[in-house]
Amino acid sequence: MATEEPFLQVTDLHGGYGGLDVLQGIDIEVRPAEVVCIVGPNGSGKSTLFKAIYGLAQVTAGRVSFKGKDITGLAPEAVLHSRIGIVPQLATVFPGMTVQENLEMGMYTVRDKARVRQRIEEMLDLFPHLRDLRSRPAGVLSGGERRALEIIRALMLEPELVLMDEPSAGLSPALTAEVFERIGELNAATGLAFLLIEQNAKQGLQASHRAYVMEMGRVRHTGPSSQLLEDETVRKAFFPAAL
Amino acid sequence: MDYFFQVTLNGLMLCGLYALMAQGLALIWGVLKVVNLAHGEFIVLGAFLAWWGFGEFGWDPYLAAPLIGLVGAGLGWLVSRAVVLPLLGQHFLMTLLATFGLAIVMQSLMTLTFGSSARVTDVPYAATGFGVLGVRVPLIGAVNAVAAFSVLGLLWLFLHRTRPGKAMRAVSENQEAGRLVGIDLKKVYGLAVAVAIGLTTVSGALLSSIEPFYPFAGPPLTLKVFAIVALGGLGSMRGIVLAAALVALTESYVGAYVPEIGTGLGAAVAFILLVVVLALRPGGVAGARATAGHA
Repeated sequence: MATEEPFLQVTDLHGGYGGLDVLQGIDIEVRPAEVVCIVGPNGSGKSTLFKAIYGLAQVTAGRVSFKGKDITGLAPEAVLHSRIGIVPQLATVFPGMTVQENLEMGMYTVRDKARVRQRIEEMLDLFPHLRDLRSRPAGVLSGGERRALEIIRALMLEPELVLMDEPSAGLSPALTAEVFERIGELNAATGLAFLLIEQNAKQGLQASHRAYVMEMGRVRHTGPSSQLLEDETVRKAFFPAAL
Repeated sequence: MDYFFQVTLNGLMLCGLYALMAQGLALIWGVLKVVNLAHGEFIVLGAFLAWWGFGEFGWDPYLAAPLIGLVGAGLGWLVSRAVVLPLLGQHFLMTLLATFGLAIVMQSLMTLTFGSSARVTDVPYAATGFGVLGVRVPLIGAVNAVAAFSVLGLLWLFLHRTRPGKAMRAVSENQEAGRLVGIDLKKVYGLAVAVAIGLTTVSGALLSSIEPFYPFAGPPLTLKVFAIVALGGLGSMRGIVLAAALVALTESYVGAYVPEIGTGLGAAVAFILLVVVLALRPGGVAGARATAGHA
């Protein structure tokens, strides 16, 4: 795990939807080559925090910066240009387009066709079972296959940080394990940083270096994931059933 | 039996034109989720431009169709900037009212420019035809069908083989995901309206030599085309072609075998079909999703 200056820094962030502040002053950071996980109960504001970072939720106060550059309130397309990959919680494949076309769309902003083809092959190496499905419409894939497609599509632009909302959503335990394994491999091999939101607290903490525990739009606890996993107060208060 | 085949052929030859007329409405609906109530007026405008080009310069409407399509695309881009884009994100009634207003303005301008009389582009080969297996194939019908299906084929290639075409399909399937891969929605919206209106004016050029038209012919055309798009499954190109065939054949059969009704109730026939088909198959004839050019 790296200990350099923060890559992503969120400072005293307030925001939400329609004038209602779901986030009540959030401070988090992700350093280069770090896997950071945000856990917390439903309604704690985890997904809103993500949307506020990539411009789909309103920011009323505070600051979001990436590598020192202010990206507060930027639209998703501008956030992408900052080399941040985004995998939202809701299904975001293009169902009528093939797996290949979905991956091409992941590099929509790149016009070098040879580079796009090469990157598609690299990404299909991460989830090889998608290789056989590349000419099928994404709409006929299973939930797990769609999730895998969303993940590698977000990696097409070679991001330096990936925001991933609920990597395990809709996945079988086997595929969930595979997704977390790939996250670990990518992080170890390339230094790619991840900021994850995970409902399955145990899995999220096991897969990350550091974590934040959110409740009611605020960060209640933070620290190395291994310590939070063992912290009796955190376990009892936030995820007794999961641990 | 020959009569039945003749009537069937007449219907089939209209199928491509109806599908082309419907594709523009489907494209705008699929990408922007906007119903363009001025759609029929753009068909009529294309017909008038073809008629005017033929009368003034002797341009054959089929050869002039690409130029008319370009003019239509330019107008479409202007309409997207001036009328549609400023209203996106507001209540859907706003775009309905705006395009309804545009239809009225276009009707008035076409009346002022071309007069209120019914016109038809009287090409010299209008009465020419040839026989195949005892059935007479009108040359103009055959040319119309070939032209319409060629344009539909080009549209399919555009949507499936080009970067902007794929972006239009992506946005029509999932707008938020489109933004998350870096698609500039405003550019895609503008392009979609330009392509759609371009196609629609081309369909008008094709219509101009086979059916009379006048400045107020737009609303019944919009209704008929809306029924075809809904029958086809709101955005499926294959569904639209099937729905267009169904409407064209039914119109042809009703016109031939129920002369008391004739061919003047095209929109009514289309809506009766719509009610029947949607009762049996709520997803339309192809049971498809609402996307642009989803084959």
